[in-house]
Amino acid sequence: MEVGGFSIPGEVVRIREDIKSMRIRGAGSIARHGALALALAAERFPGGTLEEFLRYIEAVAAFVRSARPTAVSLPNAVSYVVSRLKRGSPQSVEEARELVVRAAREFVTYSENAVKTIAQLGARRIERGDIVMTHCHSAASVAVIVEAHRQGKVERVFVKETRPAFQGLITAKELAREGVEVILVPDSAVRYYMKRVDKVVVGADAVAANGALVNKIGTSLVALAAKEARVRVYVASETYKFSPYTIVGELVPIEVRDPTEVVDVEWLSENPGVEVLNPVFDVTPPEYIDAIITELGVIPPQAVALILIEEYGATPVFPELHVPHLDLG
Amino acid sequence: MGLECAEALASYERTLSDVGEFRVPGSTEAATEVLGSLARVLKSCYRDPRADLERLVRSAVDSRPSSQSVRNILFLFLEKLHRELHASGAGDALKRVDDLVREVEGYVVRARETASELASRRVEDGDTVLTHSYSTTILRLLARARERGLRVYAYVTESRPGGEGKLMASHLWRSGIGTKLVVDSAVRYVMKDVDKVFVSAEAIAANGAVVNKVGTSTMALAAKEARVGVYVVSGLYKFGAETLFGDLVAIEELNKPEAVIPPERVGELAPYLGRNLHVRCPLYDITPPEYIDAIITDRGLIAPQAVVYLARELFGWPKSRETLERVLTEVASLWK
Repeated sequence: MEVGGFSIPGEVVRIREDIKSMRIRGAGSIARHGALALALAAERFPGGTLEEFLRYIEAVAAFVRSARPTAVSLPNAVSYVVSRLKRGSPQSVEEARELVVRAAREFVTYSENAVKTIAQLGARRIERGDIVMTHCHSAASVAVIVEAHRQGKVERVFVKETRPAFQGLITAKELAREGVEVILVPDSAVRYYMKRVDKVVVGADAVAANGALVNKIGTSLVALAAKEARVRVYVASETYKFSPYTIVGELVPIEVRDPTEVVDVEWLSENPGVEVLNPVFDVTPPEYIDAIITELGVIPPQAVALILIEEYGATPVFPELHVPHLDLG
Repeated sequence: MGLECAEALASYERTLSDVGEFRVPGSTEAATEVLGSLARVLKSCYRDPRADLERLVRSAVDSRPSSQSVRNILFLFLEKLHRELHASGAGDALKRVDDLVREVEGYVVRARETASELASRRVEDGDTVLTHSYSTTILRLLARARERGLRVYAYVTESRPGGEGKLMASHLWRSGIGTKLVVDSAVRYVMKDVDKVFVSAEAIAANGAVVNKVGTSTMALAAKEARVGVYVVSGLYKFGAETLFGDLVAIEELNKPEAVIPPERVGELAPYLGRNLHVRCPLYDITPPEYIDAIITDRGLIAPQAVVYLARELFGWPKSRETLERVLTEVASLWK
């Protein structure tokens, strides 16, 4: 495949396809694959000048980034690698290639360690005998629940089926495999069971600068039902899911996917007049979130902007954006 | 005669399982089908010991315990039958069974038509409504609004478990309403676009709480958050008179894996199912009266807490009134 005058290696095209089709899912996994795609591209660079290599990596970066519009972890991971390439001021293609590969590996290690840290911090928020509810599948929230379970704190976990793609089944399987007591329930039963729940733990696809959470469709309903029942809501999220774009005012685009994920082709052809609307994410306002558990600590949603400015603004991981240094005093 | 009775009984059993397992999703249709089927048994099994009336009626009520329609419609019929038995004895009452069924059905149809008609007046031109599950009452009211020339758009949730929202969506667009189908999880996502929520009921409790397909209470909560009006449209025959005496409404659960897990995915979960992985699947939930703006009945639009004032005419409260059980026992003994 040709992008920006460069031929993109087949493995990279496949990774992007897998992210797009959701064979690679979960914001952390998408981010790690995004970084690895760049490393692969660097290794497969057919040869040429340093100048050409840099333009080639930019073209691959843009290509990989566009796989899914809402998953902010993907552009963040890509920017993490690209910015280290630029900051490294390489003198040769060899050096440049080395910088990309090293940055990608660094990101993968950072990402994997982040989940371990989140598991430790998150488990502290779970108390003995707690009944937890979770939605969709998130490596970070599964890690939190499993760690709390190992510490003997989790009584049982309500896992929502998570239509249309049933990611709840993956969560149910992963938790059951660890010996957690799992109750699988339909999405529509969220309020019915909320009274019995002590804590909600969910993951994130993206977190906006104001602390609003973008996550699988239905998350905001879980949070609303939790607030009504005075149940605490925790978001387990690595900070590379925080959206740098939102701090400069951009909205997080909500991806709308194909109707056939909800109904089959036959039903669609029998009912051509019905529009099947299949939004993938919804937005949970920060006031419904008690805390975000990150690898940098447990923070209130309102502190997201601070992390974006301190962590990603001071040393610009996102060189293409000029995040203003705000005077917060 | 004997063969006819066996057939009628078999068909009665089939009706009950259709009703209990939601092959007849609407609660009013469920109730009238049970009644029609029971009438056939009464006619075909006169003085036949295989047809134990008390057992037949009890199993009908148990087939869908959360539904007040089945209970109340059978009650209204048995009351009429009771009067006939007293006035003219079993032989003559038998000849009147079809008339009595028609009377009860006529009342139900009128009640539903009136409630739909009143509710349709709440629809304004250009409204986008949101509804849950399958309901002929809601279909009627939106069709009526449409007949009056109003432009109406509808969101329908797929309404799992069961997924009868798909059937609802299908019927809605066929009656000329611009219809969008969404997953149950998308309720809060779409709520900002919605002007009014219309839902039906399986039962209405004495305090105005509404029992309906699971997911209704979440929808009402999201509507309240967004300041969207929630209207429950229901004939008074769904009023749960028993709740006046403190009875809780039973919520059925369909706790089998197939209710949630698609067949091709059962395999991967099989090692844990029944051990530390269980499927729980309630069919109904309870929406508290404070999330309901009005209940629109055949006697008018009222605050949910006021339903009891309208329903007392039908069920006689606070004067103690015959219960289904008492009427049933008497009818059964007169029938023998």
